[in-house]
Formats: sequence, structure tokens, C-alpha cells
Amino acid sequence: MCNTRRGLFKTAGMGLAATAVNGFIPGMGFISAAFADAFGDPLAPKNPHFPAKIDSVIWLHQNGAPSSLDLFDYKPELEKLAGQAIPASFLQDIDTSTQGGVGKLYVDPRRQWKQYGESGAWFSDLVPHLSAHADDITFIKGSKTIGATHDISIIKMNTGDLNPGRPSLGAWITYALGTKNPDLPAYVVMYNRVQPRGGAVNWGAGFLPAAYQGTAFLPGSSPILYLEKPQHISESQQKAALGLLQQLDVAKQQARPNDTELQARIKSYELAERMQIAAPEAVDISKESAAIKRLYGLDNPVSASYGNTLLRARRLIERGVRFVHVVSGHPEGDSSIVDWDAHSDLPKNHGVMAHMVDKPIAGLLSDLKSRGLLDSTVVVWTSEFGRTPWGESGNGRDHNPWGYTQWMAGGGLKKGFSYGATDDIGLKVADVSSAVDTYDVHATVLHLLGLNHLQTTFMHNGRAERPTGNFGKIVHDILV
Amino acid sequence: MKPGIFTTAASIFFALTTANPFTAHAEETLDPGVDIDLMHFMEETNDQLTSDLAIRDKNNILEGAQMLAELLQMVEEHFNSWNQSETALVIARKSTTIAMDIVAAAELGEFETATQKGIELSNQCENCHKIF
Repeated sequence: MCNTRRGLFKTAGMGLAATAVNGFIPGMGFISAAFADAFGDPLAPKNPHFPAKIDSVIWLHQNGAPSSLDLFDYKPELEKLAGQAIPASFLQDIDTSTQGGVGKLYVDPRRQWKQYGESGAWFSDLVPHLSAHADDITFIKGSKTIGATHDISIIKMNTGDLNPGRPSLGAWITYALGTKNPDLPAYVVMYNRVQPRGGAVNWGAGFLPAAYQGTAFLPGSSPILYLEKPQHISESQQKAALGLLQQLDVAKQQARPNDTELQARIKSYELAERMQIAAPEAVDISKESAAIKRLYGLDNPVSASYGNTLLRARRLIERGVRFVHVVSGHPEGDSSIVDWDAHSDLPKNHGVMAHMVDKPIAGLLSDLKSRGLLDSTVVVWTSEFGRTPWGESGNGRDHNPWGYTQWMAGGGLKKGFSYGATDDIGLKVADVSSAVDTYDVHATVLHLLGLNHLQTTFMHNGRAERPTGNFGKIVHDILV
Repeated sequence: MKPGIFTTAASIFFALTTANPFTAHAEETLDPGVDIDLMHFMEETNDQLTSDLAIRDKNNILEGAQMLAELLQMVEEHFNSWNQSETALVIARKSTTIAMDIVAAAELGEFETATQKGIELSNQCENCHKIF
């Protein structure tokens, strides 16, 4: 096969291949990032391809897939047709392999909708605080994806591929831009009680050097497991032990210069020592004012833990963390609701989940805005898919990868703007030319960060891999 | 002759001489060459083309895109003779044109255009595989 021949040439002439990618990797001059790792700090700051609109991202994964049809995507036609079988015309080109089959169209009769702001964006009564940000938000109402199971579609949402093993968006960004604060990880992940399905591959580095993977921050005063110095060890003892460890690692590294796990470990020990001070301070919200805590919903048991996580996210962004990935999780207490996955009793599920996220996210947007950080940050509301207009188990909804809403808010975006649409009942994207897939969201976020997704490359197995695989389209229509 | 030509030829020969079903309707098809092996080979070639486009490797872009254009013509002929899916035929035709556009753009050194066409080609593959 010619691929084998190419692979042979590329393996044999790796130096030449590395030269070939020169100039495609931001800020690396004449040394490709892959090789620069062997010589220096893989997290050193690098320049973008072109001036960036933003320098940080807060990636809000709404785990379990909320129903756009109950939050942001108002469909009067669905209200009219509720209780009836879905007209066949809507099912054209739809392959329904979802577990629940195709039931009767469903709306919650108690749901109320209103338009807000100068933009007139529709919000349901489930998100009263978010509706106050109608003119800050850029809706992508024609989102689509592949897959009907959470595991697969969550991995795609985070890595752009259906199979585990590719780098997550945060890892690509960290690889391409490095860190803004050497005392903290450039890429932090926080999950409110539960990880998403698929677990850590969703913030993994894939084939990129391991240094670019996300670092999980846990709740509590010591966010990183085993980071604290044990009480019975003095500072000088710790320094001596780490010094010896580094000598041994560096000696081993000379024999294994391409071992990125070892490089990452050396850097992580150095980073860990600095983080022993920086990380607890970064997540210590004790000095935040009572008003700020209320703004994030910390005074309410349903929203408190998610609000706490988002307040930490703001503090991390403020301190130069480039990518904060927050998994929505669930509130303390009711163990019957663990995520947005409302196959039955959607009114109860979404009542709790929306209550959990509404005030904290609205608070985050207000707080970032008042600090001037919203211009340099993009907040992304994302989910693995949406939910069907037909009901499941009476008043639930099934998975819908064909058409749903995601949104962004922040620098470089048209504010109070809606792009794309679903059909009259919210089942699938109305106009395929304006459909936005997960890799299009990735391409757009990278663009806002000053990165050309087509030129952000990493040589792996003789191939120049890029964040969006064979796909990716920047959604120019939502950009200022 | 380059060793790759042998392996490429062998691969196509293998594809042409095996009758693994490509779709549930394979029994009805007239052309045994369009099967799952050929599809995997085309997928691999497309992945390699994406890489070649990213590093602007003109010679390999031309070779990969030309090969895809020829193989897509086979797919087009397959759907034409099968006469069961107008959509697939339209997609195959469009894909052949796009692959040839990549060749034309690469020959002119217009790599950005070629890259965009490469994405368009991958989208066509995705559209077709929604059906098959």
C-alpha cells in the first residue's frame, strides 16, 4: 500500500518530516513542538498563528444531555402537535436507533417561554437567571453530532472523534499555546461529584505528549490528590528527595529522550512543588465576598456545589489557567438524579438540573463581565447531544444527535445572536449548510484563540495529525 | 517501479477479487470490486491525504487525491449499475469531482483551497456512510 511506503519514508526520514512541519506550529520557530519537548519545557508559552480574540476557555459540559426544547429552543409547532404521532415528513433521513423508539410528541404543559433582551432570544422558565444574559450569548441552534450513546458522543464532543485515544480540545490548546502560569496546570478539569461516561479519556492527551493532558481538581481545600506535603516530612527533606528523584529521572531521560511520560513526570514533580502553594490558594474561595458567593448560588443547596466549582473556574482563569473543563454532575442530596439524562420524568430532572446550573452560570457570566474577563474568555455550554421532541416513558425524552442547541459567550463573538435552527419540532437541523458539528465548535474555539486548526499539527505514526481530524469548519457567521 | 505500486496494485487486486459484502445489498451488485476492503483502503488514503495537506506535501497530495478520484469513479460506476440509490450516486459523483478539484488546486500550489476541498470530501464520505 502506498500508505506503508509513505509511512516508511516518513519514519526513515523523521528529521525531514519534522522540518516539513516547521512553521505550522505556533511559536516554535524552526523546531517543531514535538521535538522541542525533548529540549525544553513542553509547557513554555507559544505564540498563536494570528492575534487571538481570547486567551482562555471555560468548557461547560452539561453531562447527560439537556433538552434544548425545554431550555432555549422554543417550538410553537411542537406545542400544537403535542400528544400526536410525529408526521412522517420530519423523520426523513433520520435513522432512529435510540432505545426508546419513536413515541408521541411531548411538551411539558407547565413550561413557559418568554423572549429576553434586545436580541429577543427565547428562554424557558427553567433558566430565569440565564435569560438575563440573552444579549451576551451566541446560540448555535443547529448543532449536530454522531452517535446515540453518551460514551461515544461525549468522547466526540471532547476529542472530535468517536473512538477514544485522540487528544482532547484542551490538550491541543495546551500543546499549541503552552501555559500562562507556570505555577498552575494550563488545563484543569473539575467534575461536580461524578465524572462523565468515558472518564479521563475526555481530558486526555491522546498521542500528544502526556504533559498536555488535563489535571483533575477535586473539591476541598487541597484540590489535587496527594499534592500536600505529608506532615512528618520537613520542607528541606522534601526538597532533597525531589532533587534526588530529578537526578535519577534526568539520567534515565538521556537514554530515553522520546519518552514523553518521563518528561511529563519530571515536569509534573517540579510543577507539583510549585502547586503545593499555588493550587490551594487558587481554589480558596474563603476570601470571596458574600455577594459573590450569592451570585454563584452558593447560598442554595441545589446550586451550591456547581456554583462553588464555577467560582473556582473564574479564579483559575484569573490566574492564567488556559482551559477549564467543568462537568456538570449533580446536586447533593437527591440520588435519583445524577445528570441531565431524562429518559423519564423530564420535568423533575430538568427542574433540579436547571436549578443547579442556571444561577451559577449566570453568576459566572456576570462576574467575568464585571472583571473585564468576558472579553478575553469564551464560556461554552456544550453537551454530547440534545433530546428528542417525542416523549419516552411518558414524560421523558430520548437522545437526539440530529439537532440541538449549544451556546458560547465571550470575546470575539456576536453577542445576542442565534446561528442556525432546528426544524419546526426541534428534531433535526433545518438547513444542513448551517449545521455545526463538534469539530466545527473546536475549529471555532481554536480560531478565537488565534490558532488555525488546519495548521495546528503533530506528527504521529508518520502522519501530521490535527485537532479536527479530516473535518472542521470555522463558524465565521458567529464571529465579530 | 516503486515498491508501493506493487502493494497498491495488490491491494486493488485484492479488493477486486474478493467478494466481501460492502452493504446488505451486495448480493445484488454487479461490481464485486466495491467492498468493505476497498472502503477501508479509501478511508486510509483519505486520512493520509489529510496529513499530506496539513504539511503541504505536493507530490503525495497529488498521488493520494488522484488515486481517490479513480477509486471514487469505481464507486460511482458501482452505484450507477446498481441503480438503487440516487443519493449515493450523486454523492459519489460529487466526491469524484472534489477529489479532482484537490488535484487541480495542489497542482497550482493552492493548498488552502485543496485543504478545504479535502474537508468537503470527508464530509461527503460521512454523508454516504450515514446511508451505508
